[in-house]
Amino acid sequence: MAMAQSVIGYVSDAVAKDLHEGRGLGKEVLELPLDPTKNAAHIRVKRSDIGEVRMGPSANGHTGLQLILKPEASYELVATASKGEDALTAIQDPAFWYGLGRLRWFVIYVGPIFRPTAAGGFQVVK
Amino acid sequence: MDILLVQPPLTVSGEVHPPLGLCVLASHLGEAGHKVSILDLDLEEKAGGGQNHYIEKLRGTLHEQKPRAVGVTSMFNNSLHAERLIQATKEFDPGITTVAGGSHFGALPSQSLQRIPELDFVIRGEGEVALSQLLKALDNAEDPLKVPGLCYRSPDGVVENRAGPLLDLSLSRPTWTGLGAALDVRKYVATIPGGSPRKTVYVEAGRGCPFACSFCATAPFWQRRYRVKAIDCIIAEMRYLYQEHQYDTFMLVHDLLTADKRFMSDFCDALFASRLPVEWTANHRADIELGDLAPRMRSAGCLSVFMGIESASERIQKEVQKGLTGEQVFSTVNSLRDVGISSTCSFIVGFPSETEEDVSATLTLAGRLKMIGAEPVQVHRLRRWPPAPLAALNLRSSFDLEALRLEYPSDEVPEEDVETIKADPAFFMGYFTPDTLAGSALQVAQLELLFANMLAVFPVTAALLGAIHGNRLIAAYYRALALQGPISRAELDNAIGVRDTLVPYLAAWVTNDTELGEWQRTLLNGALSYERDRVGFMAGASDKSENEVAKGNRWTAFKTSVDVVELVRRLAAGSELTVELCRNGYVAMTRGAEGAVRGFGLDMKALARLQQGDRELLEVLEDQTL
Repeated sequence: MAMAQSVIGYVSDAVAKDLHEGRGLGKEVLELPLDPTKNAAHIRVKRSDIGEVRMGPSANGHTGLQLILKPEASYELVATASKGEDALTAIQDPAFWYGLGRLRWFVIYVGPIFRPTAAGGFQVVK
Repeated sequence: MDILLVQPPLTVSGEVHPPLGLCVLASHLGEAGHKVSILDLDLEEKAGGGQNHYIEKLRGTLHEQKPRAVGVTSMFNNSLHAERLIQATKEFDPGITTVAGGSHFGALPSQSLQRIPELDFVIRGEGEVALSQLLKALDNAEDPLKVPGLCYRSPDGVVENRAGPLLDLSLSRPTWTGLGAALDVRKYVATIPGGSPRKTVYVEAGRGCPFACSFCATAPFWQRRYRVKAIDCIIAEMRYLYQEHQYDTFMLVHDLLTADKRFMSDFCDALFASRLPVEWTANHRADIELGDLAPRMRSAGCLSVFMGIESASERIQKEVQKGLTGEQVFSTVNSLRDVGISSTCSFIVGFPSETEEDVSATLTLAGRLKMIGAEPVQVHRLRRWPPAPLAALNLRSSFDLEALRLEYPSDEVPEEDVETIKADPAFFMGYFTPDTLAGSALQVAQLELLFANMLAVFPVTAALLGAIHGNRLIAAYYRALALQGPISRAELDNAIGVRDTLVPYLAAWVTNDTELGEWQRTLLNGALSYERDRVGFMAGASDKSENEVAKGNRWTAFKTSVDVVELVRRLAAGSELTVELCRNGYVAMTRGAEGAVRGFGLDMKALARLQQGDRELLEVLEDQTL
């Protein structure tokens, strides 16, 4: 089975539907939030680099999207960061990891990278 | 043939899950043309009614349904109840055929038939085909004694027929949609407490683990052959339970689902494409490298995996034929955490040749894993369940009332039941724990109780004790136990109970522990004080801490005598602990809208800003989306 790179994120149901049906890809760059309801991090990917849009689960008005990227595609991960003085420093105590609710984590899936070969097939790039 | 499948009382917990084994069986029997209904006495008992109410309930159902056969399943913890149900059935009508199976009777068929004269047949191992063939033979007045896997009495003693071939699970039809009127799932949904963030249910994904761990009973029960159901079938069951009953979290039951990475890959793709907004859990082994499968599992809704780690001792790992290493475990827990999958890590203490040093290393590893994100971290005493290879060994063992109380399906174990179980150690061997070099039965039972609760409620203190004492942890604990006596499980039934029991207990341990340096004692007392405040804040305790220095709508600030931020970081990293950690500071804890709690370290300047109502800091602490 041929493998490709993909990224996964969450958008509103309406946006997901539009993207899946080929609308809304008019912008040069698509910004895909990694966490539903949050804007702490998103992936920027060129519209022209998206080979396929796959719809995932929908919950509370948000839908998971898997964007299958074309070979040679690139993407950027943009994340917010605190600035200025560190008056408050988060304690990484495992007791605080309870009760985070649903779909609060995000992932980026980057599969094996395949490049077209001269013979017309694909080869894994190490 | 009409058959009533009976689930004996199983747990004391209020939330009841549909009995997966009986549902699988009912679906198969229904497909074969038998008329099946399920009587779940675990569910019925939650309605109350007293000690032997379940027997009355069975009699009522027999009177109403008049089945020709009754099948009773048995876990190890409720087999005495199963035995009484079989006896009550024959007493009600000697013409009813009684059949038993499940993990206890199915593993010890001869002993079951010898022990229970009212029991006609036992099915060994996988039950679907054998029970279906037995019912068909009885229906047609044919001789059932050739049914593969069937065990029965003959004039020459008990006969155990050789088991038939295992089912090809890839051909199974969806269990839940095939139940018909056999079970009303809505009754189970009704037991889920209001406000629960999840509705959780079991779905069978397959059976069998190819590994040969000596303490494991389920791998040999399924003949160590890895089998999975068809992906479409599993997803169809999840879809049905989500759409019809709003279950949104699925425990995918399989001894070791991730053993076949190709299956997992296809399953994740199919579940993502199914667009079901659900999450799931599965069993995993720390030495199976998931690689890029882990983020795909998370994307497909994997919430957590269960891993049996068992021991930190290389020697014990080898003896029990598991063979995990600490490096593998750390690597797996870290990589899963990085993609948002939680790892349940389970440990066993009390292997016969295990020493105090081995157990110390195990509990120290457990503390480290907790600090890097394993959740929950469980500690269990070794128990022997047939057909585990360890159960076949002739080990010196003693009756363990504490283990029995822990698992019994009622809050109290009647004295009569205790005496019955004590009188038959071969049949009830799960409640007879083997002797171990790691300590006496009382010592090991107490260390299980203390450390399991400490890891759950006081993880920083647990990890700190391990980091300081290392391989002498258990020796130090046993000295505290000798001085302070045992703690009672009855006092540990909620977070505040654990806090109010363990804080004075651990404080006394630290005070009297002669192996501790003065700064180490200060560090432990500081960690304990911080955790006491955190538990109180998270549980919404009404009592005010003497460390409270400021308070807002959603947050409270406390003074501390240790650098909590740095201490937690070093414990997670396994870095050296030094006297510099013993410095005064402050922490603020805040509660988000979804109940999530966050903690922040702050210095004196930041505290002053907070007390003066600094808007910038308050915005962070009162941000409900944290």
